[in-house]
Amino acid sequence: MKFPSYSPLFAVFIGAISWVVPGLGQIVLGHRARGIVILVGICGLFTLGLWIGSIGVIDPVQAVLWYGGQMLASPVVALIADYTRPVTGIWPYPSNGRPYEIGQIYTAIAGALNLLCIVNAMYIAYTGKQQPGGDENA
Amino acid sequence: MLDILASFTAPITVSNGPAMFGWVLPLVIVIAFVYKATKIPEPFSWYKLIRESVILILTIVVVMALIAATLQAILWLITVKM
Repeated sequence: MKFPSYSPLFAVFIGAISWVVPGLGQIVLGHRARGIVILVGICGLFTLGLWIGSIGVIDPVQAVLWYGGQMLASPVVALIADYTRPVTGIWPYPSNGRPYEIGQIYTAIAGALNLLCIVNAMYIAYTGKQQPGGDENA
Repeated sequence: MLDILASFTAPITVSNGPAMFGWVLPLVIVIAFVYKATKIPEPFSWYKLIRESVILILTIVVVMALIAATLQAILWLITVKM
C-alpha cells in the first residue's frame, strides 16, 4: 500500500509503525541515525526496567495507569501482559518493593519517550520538517 | 539464553542506601539522548548529539542535586533550628 507523502494518512501510518517499533518512523523517513538512537534508547530503557523489576512490573490489573504508560512503548507490552496477569488470584511473576517501583518508572518513562518520538515522526511525515521552525526537508 | 530470559522473571535486589540514587543515571542518560535525537536540527551530527546530551545530563543531575540540598536545608531548619 502506497501513501502519498505529507498527507495525514501517511503521518498516521508513520505514527503507527513508530508505536510498534520505536524509532522505525524516523528510519523510514530517512532519519536513520535519529531512529537508531531512539530504538536503542527506548528498547534499552524498557528492557532494563523489566530486568530490574521482572516482567511482573507489567501489571494491567493493579497498576492500570502505569500499564497505560508502558503500552505507549509498544503494543508488544500487551503480549507480555498476557503472561503476567493473575491466574485465579495468584500473580505468576510477583514483584514488589523498590525494584518494582524502579522497573515501573523505567518502563513507563520509556513509553512516554516513545510518545514524544511518535509525535516527532508524525510531524516530519506531515510537514517534511524536522521540528517547528526547521527549514530542512525530511 | 535461557538463563538470560530467566533473569527477567524475578526482580533483582536493590539496596536502600544512598547508592540507590545511582539508578536515576540510566534514566537521565536515555531521556537526554532520546530527547536530543528528536530536537537537533539537520544535518544530523553525532558530535552535536553527544555534546548537547551531555550538557542536558549534567544540567538535570546538578539541578536535582541543588533541589535535594535545598529541601534538606529546609528540613534541617524546621527540625533542628525551630
